[in-house]
Amino acid sequence: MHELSLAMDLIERAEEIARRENAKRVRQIEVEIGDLSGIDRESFAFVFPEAASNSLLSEALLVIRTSSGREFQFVSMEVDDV
Amino acid sequence: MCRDCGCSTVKHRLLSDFNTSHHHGPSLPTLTLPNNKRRISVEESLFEKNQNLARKNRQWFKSQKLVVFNVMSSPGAGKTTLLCKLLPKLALDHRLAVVVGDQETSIDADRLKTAGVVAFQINTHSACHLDAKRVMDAVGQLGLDQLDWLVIENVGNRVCPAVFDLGENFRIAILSTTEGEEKPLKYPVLFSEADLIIISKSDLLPHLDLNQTTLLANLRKMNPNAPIITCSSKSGEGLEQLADELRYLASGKETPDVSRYANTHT
Ligand SMILES: Nc1nc2c(ncn2[C@@H]2O[C@H](COP(=O)(O)OP(=O)(O)O)[C@@H](O)[C@H]2O)c(=O)[nH]1
Ligand SMILES: [Mg+2]
Ligand SMILES: [Zn+2]
Ligand SMILES: [Zn+2]
Repeated sequence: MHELSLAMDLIERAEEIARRENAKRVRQIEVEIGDLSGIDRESFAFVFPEAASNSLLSEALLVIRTSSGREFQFVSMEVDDV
Repeated sequence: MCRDCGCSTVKHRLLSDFNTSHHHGPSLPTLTLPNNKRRISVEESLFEKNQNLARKNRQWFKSQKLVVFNVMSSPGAGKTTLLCKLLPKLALDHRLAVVVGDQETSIDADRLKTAGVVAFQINTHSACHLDAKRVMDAVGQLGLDQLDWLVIENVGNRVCPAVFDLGENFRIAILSTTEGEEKPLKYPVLFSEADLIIISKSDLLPHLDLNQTTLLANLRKMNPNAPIITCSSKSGEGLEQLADELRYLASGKETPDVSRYANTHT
């Protein structure tokens, strides 16, 4: 399945934004995954830690918001500077 | 969701200047939280990377005057067999090639070559769908200036190929008679966004208990407009009609790359 590569896209994008915003660590990340997105939420949550290892998100908590459409949306993230 | 960039339509309405700001302003809205934390509001689609590449593909195909079909179905619905039957005839009056995606092996490309069709295999390995980048990489090796049509046989999978735009002009969804009446309802994205729906393996109907009326009603529920063609690669039923339909689509009497994407904004 493609959840791992999509999770890696998310990590890449999150790190890019975190660096740009001068954050040191991402503590929490929220995504929205719709029923019609073609993404399985459970497998996404399962592969997320692997994708996040050795990144600014290695300790990040993943929050998945559900919806009924095709959304695969990077909603927000909580970062700190330590 | 917006098929153009993959963002949710709600965001579009909120954006006053789509072209310049979109979701990519230099600094994102940030909320300060206790304990030195901040919440950064990102609000962007993670399909956007693929959408951007698909848009580039689409522009490039257009500049090459190339018509591109993306053929999708479950594994075994009969995509390769159908293309082997159909394309040699169409190749008499169109310069065409097939790019075929499978996780492993070049069996399908070899079958197509044996049938006399120019074919190029993409192996996706672990991935269960083609994406715009893989297609772009493959077509780079094909010499597109020589071509009128490009047919992409996607990886057999009813779910995710449907959400990855490749930059195609037309999406073709195949459902075989052995798959049952309710599949269009269970896999709504594939069938609702198809420009042409093919019911394959009609030669098997006498052996099956398929209720064709129910199947057609379910397809129409998901997709009121796309032509539906029933055919068999074995008996040849419907193949002539299918060839005509492809010619008609490719003739550009409809421009779904504009209308379809506009529709999905609502
Ligand atoms: N009876 C019958 N069998 C078919 C037909 N089309 C394909 N098949 C068989 O279905 C199987 C899968 O076909 P294939 O073209 O490889 O499917 P793909 O995975 O969608 O490319 C093969 O064993 C084909 O011989 C058809 O029209 N009638
Ligand atoms: Mg095949
Ligand atoms: Zn958009
Ligand atoms: Zn996939």
